[in-house]
Amino acid sequence: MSLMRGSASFRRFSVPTQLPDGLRESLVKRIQRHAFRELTPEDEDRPSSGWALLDNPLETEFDAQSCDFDGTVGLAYRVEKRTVQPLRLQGRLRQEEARIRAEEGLEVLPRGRMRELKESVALALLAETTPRISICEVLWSLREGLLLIGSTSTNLVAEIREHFERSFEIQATPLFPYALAGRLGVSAGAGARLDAIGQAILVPEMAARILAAEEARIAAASTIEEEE
Amino acid sequence: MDLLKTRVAKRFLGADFLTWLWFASEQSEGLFELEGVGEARVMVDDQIQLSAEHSDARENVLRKGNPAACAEAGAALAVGKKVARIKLRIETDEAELVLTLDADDLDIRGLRIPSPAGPTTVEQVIERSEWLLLASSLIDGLFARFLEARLARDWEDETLAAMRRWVRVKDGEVEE
Repeated sequence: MSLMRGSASFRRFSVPTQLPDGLRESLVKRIQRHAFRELTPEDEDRPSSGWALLDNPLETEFDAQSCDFDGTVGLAYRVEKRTVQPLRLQGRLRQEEARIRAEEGLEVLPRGRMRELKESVALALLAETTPRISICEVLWSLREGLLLIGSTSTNLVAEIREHFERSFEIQATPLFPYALAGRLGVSAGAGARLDAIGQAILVPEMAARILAAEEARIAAASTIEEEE
Repeated sequence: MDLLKTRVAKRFLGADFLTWLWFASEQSEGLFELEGVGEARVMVDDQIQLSAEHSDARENVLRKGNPAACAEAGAALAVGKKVARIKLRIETDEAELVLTLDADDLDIRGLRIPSPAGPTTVEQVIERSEWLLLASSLIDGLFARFLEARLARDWEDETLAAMRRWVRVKDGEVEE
């Protein structure tokens, strides 16, 4: 997912232009602290993620020149994860199971040993696997107070936003329409009007159905929120 | 209201914005005066997605050719559907951008801008960032114009009335 090449897709966030004391000076240190760290065998199938250089995401050593581009902080968010294809796991498991049964003259392998075998086969396969790398580019305009995350995947964007907020200890507010109205400085009076408006009904004959569906949607969303 | 509740309660703003933008782009040759950018011409390109929660079929995806002028678009508007995603061509004095805009989060997709050749340099990052920020400003400018119209005292009598008539024209119910 690229902001720097080809066609770009991204979600926007509002961040403060007035940064907390000392943040500007400590940017590189904070980025380095939250930089990507290589996977180790102990990570097993847990992913590793963090900041990497925008122009070379395989590099993770930062200095001011490598991430500050004339008032815009440019970073790559790198994620690595080892995965084993289920079919491959199943195939190797069958081979190992057959070998043990033949060696020990068993009809079937007890359930507990089967579970242990599955775990050890999965670990062995993970160790043989090359991690899968994915990169998402991020631009933070310090002047505009705008963060662009080069993805529209809800989960990935949420993960990067969280990493951003953890790294810099500032809030990034998603610019959905109502939030954008606030950012654009809808004045106090107009703000109250904005709070009061309902959706535009373009086909008055359909108003009852449209509004009932809207109420149902809001009620369903509240239920989900309460359950969470 | 907390952020999540506001987002849910005011979700309609995005679809209202994109539907207004389509309507407004067909008035006065699609010209908009945008703060900080100047004059911009907005045209609907070759993709419109319309949706409605209340409708039996919730989504119409119209692609290729000229969906803004097709009968299916008019029929979808006439049953109360609104724009969920739209591909736009935006021209200013300095640039011509093509992008797709989503109603819910105003995500920008498939933004076509000049792409640097060769390895990434500082100058290229700066130039590319400027293009991305320009696209962002254009969307902000258009959204600000929508808010102006939406929050105006004469919204119902002027803009909404004109949009309702536009829907009927699109559906072939009345003549332009």
